[in-house]
Amino acid sequence: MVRTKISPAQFFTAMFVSHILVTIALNAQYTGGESILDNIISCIISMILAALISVPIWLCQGRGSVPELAVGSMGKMGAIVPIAYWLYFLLAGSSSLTLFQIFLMDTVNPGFSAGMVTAAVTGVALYGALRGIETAARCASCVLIAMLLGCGLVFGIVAVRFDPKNLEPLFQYGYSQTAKGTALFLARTSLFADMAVLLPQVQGKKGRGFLWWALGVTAFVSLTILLIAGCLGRYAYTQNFPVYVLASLTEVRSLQRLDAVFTGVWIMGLIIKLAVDMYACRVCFRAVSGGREKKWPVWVTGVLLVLLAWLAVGNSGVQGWLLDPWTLCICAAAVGAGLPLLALIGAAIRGKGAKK
Amino acid sequence: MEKVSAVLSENKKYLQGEFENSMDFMMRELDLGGAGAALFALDGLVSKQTITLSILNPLMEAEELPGRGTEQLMHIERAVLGAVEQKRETKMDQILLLLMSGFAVLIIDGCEEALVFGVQGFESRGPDEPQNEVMQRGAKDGFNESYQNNMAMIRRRMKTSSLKFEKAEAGSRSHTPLAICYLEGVASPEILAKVKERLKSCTLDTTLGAGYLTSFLERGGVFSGVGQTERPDVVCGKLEEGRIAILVEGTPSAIIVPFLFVENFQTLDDYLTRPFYGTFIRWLKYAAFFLSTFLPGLYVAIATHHPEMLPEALLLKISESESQTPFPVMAETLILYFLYEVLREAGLRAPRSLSATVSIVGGLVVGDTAVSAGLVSAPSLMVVALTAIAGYAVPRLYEPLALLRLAFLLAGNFLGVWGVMIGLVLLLMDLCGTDSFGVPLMSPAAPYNGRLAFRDVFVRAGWRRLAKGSANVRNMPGSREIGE
Repeated sequence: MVRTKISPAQFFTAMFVSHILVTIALNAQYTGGESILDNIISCIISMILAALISVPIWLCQGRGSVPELAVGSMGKMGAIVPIAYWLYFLLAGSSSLTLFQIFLMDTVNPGFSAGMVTAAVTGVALYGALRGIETAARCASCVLIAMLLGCGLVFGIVAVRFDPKNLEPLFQYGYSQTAKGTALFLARTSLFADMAVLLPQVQGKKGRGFLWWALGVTAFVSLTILLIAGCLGRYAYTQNFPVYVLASLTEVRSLQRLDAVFTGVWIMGLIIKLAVDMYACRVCFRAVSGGREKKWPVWVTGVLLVLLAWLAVGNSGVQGWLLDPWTLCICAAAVGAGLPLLALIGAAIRGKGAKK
Repeated sequence: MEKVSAVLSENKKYLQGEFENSMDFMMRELDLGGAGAALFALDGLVSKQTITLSILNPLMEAEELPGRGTEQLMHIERAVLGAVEQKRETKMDQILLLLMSGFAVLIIDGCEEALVFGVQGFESRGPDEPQNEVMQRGAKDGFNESYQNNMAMIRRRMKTSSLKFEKAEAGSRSHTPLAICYLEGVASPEILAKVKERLKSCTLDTTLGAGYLTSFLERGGVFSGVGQTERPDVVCGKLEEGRIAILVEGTPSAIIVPFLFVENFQTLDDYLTRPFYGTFIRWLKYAAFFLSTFLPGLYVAIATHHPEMLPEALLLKISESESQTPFPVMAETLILYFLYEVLREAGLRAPRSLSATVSIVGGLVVGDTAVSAGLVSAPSLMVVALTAIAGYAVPRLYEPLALLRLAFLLAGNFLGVWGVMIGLVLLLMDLCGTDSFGVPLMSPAAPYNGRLAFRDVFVRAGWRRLAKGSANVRNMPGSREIGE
């Protein structure tokens, strides 16, 4: 396979579209409190932490992807790194799918199988992953337009219901919600793993792309939280998916409710996230197999993702583990900082040995 | 027999054998100053008048034909005959091919070469107005079945020596002549090489039209990366943008490569009107495309799974109509859609005198009666009719749209609006992942280039701006070396 290059704008657009999922699946249960405005601060802190966590990735990227660097410097032992990334992608992907399926079953309760929707979403993402990173990245820019139009429509309509009286002071219940919110924002992004695996395929000013990504995500998340708090007030804290409720409030002449648009936006973002993650799995397996390109690992990943999501929906133990923000946050930090550091140390030791 | 024999009788015997039982084979024996000769041609392909005036009369009126064999042939070629297109040929397979392409062949006894003359005289249709690309303000002439005429139509519009027509052929049995047309220095040499390579990979025995070749030129995807046009002015515009046109003998249209998705929405009229109106029409076509693709799917999805999306008054009207019909929304939309496609096909294939009757019976009798009999609801009928009409706003996309509508209809029925959304992303993935000769099909929208996108995609800029350099296809964002 020829390693195709994409621009930083394309890569970070895909990351932006994926990360927005965090916001629309935000609720009091996961953020750990009733002061949702505190999560604007959580988002800002999470962006600063994201910049710090990703430092080892930036140090690695001049020498290729983290999995390749690890395999190249540590030999067979280094294969642990790409396998760890694959396991992380499996965990992060199934977590997103589980959350989506729970949303469908609990909140929307459609007249058809929610599992079928999950399978269809994974199927389309699989197709994108098989077509390559260029396809997923180009598609992400189209999805971004659709997302901005959909969200713009919903936000524009609900903005008239905004009441400043609904806003509560920051940190009135302490700092615990801010901390848990920060963990949640870091947990529900596969940015670090995607950067570790795919950044060498990005050509251009990557630092500037990262900066715009962080600013864009912060702006979008802050606006959404502000609208949830200002439009729904304390009603938001009793809802499993407040953004969905926000979308349901829209009443314009031609469209009664826009909750289906909200779900559509979530679906589109989810597909892009899974497509990029599954493509990254393909790159991980290439590193393990010595550069040989195989498509079956992507198929296996897709099937496992669906099975894990179905299992988690039916089993509260697995569900609790998959959706726990702290577990996912630690994993994200491990793949963002731990594994790249390991690869760097491995490369440094090997470098020393070579000099001797 | 590989080469022309010096013995005339052997040549005559060979050609008579090849065209045995072919009543169109003509042979005229001549005496050229004591040397035997024969002129061969195929009836219907040549102009007998041209043969008489340009070949037979000069040969018979020639007082003296010096020399024998090749020397005599060379004298005839230089000093006797007045045919514009003439050349010498030694290979028999080439002579056969030329005979079947409307050439006349003169073979003289004692000479191992034949003299061939271009005396084509078959009838061809005039340059009528294209039936499938009707323009409001554009020229009214379109391609016809003769590729030579089509070449002339292009040359008349582009008086530049950089306009090239390279000869090629397709079909191992039909030997259908092709002309690969491009602007030297403007078209990408890599794309040109790839076009020739893909044409060579055509393994067909017989090529009866441009459509036979497109499948060898494109590389998968729902939307084709190969375009066709019946208009010489459109071809000239495309050549100016670095594209390559292929003219196929017997086809009144030209193949254009690379062909981007946005080109399906561009017509010559867009450029002949004022920019604001051109932009308005362009957006109207984009809207028609979305309407035509998604309306039936969304209608079925909303009516079946998300009625809460509709305002109360509209919801009540739809449910009232639906309550009087025996079929679910999905079934009646599907039935109506199939009925429409059947009527369209019947209208297209029926003799012209009957097509009006088919339309009346189909549109008025069947449609009106089905609604009044309570078999289908009026909203469903309206949705299908609107979809069909919207589809004709972008006629180039009719084929993929016909199947996409069906796919979105099923997705909307089984998975609601989300099924349509999933389908939309799948379609986007397919579009974004398809290239046409190394140029991304969705370019310059995805990958995005603002300068090009706001030149001729999202808006149709004025000619002052368009005149500042052409949007050459090889400069599109994301274009890469072929084969990468």
